Amino acid sequence: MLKIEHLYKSFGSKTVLDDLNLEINDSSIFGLVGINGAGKSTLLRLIAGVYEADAGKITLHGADTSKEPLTRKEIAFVPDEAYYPVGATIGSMKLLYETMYSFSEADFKKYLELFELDEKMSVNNLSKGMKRRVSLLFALSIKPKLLLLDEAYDGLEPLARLRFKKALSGLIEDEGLTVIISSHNLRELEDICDSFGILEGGRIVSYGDLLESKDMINKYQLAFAEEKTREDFSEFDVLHYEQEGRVQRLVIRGNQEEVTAKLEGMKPLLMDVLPVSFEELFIYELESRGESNE
Amino acid sequence: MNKSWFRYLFRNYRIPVIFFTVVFFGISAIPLISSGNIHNDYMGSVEVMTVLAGMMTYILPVILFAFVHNRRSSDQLLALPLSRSEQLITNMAFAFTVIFGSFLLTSVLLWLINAIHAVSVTELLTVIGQEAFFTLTLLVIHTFWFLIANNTFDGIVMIGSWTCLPLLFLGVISSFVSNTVAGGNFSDTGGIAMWLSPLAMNIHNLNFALAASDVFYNWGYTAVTAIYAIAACYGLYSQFVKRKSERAGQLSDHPLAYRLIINLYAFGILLTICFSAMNSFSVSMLTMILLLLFIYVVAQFVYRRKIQLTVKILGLFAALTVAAAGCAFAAYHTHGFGQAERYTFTDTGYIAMHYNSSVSADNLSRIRSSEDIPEAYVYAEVVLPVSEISQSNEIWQIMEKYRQAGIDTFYSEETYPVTAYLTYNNTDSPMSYTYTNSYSYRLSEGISLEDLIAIDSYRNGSVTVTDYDDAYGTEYSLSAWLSKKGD
Repeated sequence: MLKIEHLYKSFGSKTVLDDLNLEINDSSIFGLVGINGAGKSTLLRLIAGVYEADAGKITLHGADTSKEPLTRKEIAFVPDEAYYPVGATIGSMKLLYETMYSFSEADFKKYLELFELDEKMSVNNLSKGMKRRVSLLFALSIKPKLLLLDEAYDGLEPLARLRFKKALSGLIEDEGLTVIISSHNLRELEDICDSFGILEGGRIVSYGDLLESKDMINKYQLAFAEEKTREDFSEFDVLHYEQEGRVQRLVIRGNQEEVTAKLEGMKPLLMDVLPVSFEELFIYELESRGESNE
Repeated sequence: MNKSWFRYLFRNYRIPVIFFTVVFFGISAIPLISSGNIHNDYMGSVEVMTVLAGMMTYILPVILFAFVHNRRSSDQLLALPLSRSEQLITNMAFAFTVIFGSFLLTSVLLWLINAIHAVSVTELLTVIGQEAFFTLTLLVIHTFWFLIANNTFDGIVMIGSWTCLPLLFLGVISSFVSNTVAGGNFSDTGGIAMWLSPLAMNIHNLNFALAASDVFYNWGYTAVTAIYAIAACYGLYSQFVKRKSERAGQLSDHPLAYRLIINLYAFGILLTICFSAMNSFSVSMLTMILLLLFIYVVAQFVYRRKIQLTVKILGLFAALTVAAAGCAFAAYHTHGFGQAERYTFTDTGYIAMHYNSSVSADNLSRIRSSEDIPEAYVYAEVVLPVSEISQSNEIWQIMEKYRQAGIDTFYSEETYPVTAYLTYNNTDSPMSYTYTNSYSYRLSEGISLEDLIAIDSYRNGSVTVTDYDDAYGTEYSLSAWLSKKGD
């Protein structure tokens, strides 16, 4: 389990992470989302050991990642823009991972084939997507227990994404791999993640099982004989409200059956219940927080 | 130290390392081609090795630590499963092994091949020991300078700036002494700059190890260099182990980086100009200050990566100018902070005083302008044992009188067509012409005939007069000259 406790990180006078707490279970794929500048990359760099926290603790299976650097052998970090030395080939880059990590030559060959790469390829001549593959190739070849992907998933084309997803599934099942993916492409995350966390104001403001969370938030389209206002729905946890004539569209948090029963009690002429996507969940969560902050 | 990381560095840099070692050996062997003295040829080789090793102490920190200045590479290399301390120590150990290893290998091989009978084991070990100290201390110090910056370009600028800073200091002292201190003795103040340069101190002591003549090993230099290196180690701890890696690619705003360097250089150059202005002011100095302001603004651009001409920057430059002018004014009007009044003795046994002046043939104490056609030229020399110098010594009294006159002339508002000079030097024997601790005074009035006679009659004194009646000049002793003139 990855456990983050009371984590603080500032850049100069700007506080990026402010008493952040998070627990991520093994063998899960965690989607880390947030607006630009929310601190997603900072959090991943802190977990990877690139940055040092101002305060707080990050432990992986009980070991402090900053104080026990050997635990980082089990962590693979793929940043949004990876580093490739001048003139490096995939073969020459292998040396670093072979020497410093529990590198598996067999896995390396397997993923090399999976990503359609060749050891002799000069990395700097590759396209952005191909470079992503190279980074993922090495990340998977070191047999990590924790894989940190900082928007590294975004640049992959659909086929490569599919192959990568399959590889991840295998590693999660066989090796108990935990993955944290930071991405702006929430539709893609929805396909792959089983849990999520929304980072805002330096804290995880909402996190949990993705399906459960989605089940708890639904879109309701209603029409009433008499005119209604938002105040008429004050007993519900309304995340979003819009009205067009006598038709109301609401996003309400709460058990779907309970909410539906209550709404039916208001005698609507029409009621449709629609599921929300992860993207909508993210937007409505942030929207409701913005409103509550106001 | 982390063995895996050390192994990786060697495997990753194996081709450059092999190339460097071969080149190191090849270039270092060149002096041996000479068919001269085997001992000197070998020491020549060691000198070449030292130069190469010195260069590498600048290059390797840049190669090995540039990754912290780049966000992408720091993302990769700071996430490795080793602590920052291990990474630092291993990188330093690798750099030291490459440089000193090449030195050790080459020096021992060349010794075995060519100089085993000409260079003693003690000499070899002395050279090797000194080189190890040289390499280690310079590596640590140069790495620290590189790491106070936040990007590679600035890191290289920092290494260069801090290396050259003692030269600036030397220039400031030289300007201070020659423009505000009557007598202008540079030898006992110029050496201060040496203490600021680990490179210069190391080279000095390496020269001893290379058995260069008249250069003595200076344990003070060793101690001070070691102190600098220890301070740099502490600096490395804060700049690498405790470094905030988010600094990568940012402006280099460390207190020891541009903010200090730009102002130190500006102040040093301003001091140099202002000291000169106290001695002889010219309008071109104002032009130089304006030019320096332009360079100052350019340096701010290099620091901030944007052109900025703010009131703060201009105000700071103005403040530095005022401070430098004030310092120069104070220096001049306190007679070089009291330096002009004193005369220091080195541990040599004698003080040699020389006087020379273009004078009137009718009156040897009347100085003639350098623009006038020379009539006669007086040259006086007195060599006094330091042990005899006291207020009661007549010759010393006479010379001190003229030295004081020279000091007054230096600080006088009036200008004189000075062609009379009095110089003081320390020397180790009355007959020696090896002088140290040199002072030179210009006189507005020549030494009187009475005093010249006194000097001439002193056992270690002599006065000669050169008559320029003819084009070539004829030299006379003072008594012969006086006889000729009928005095």
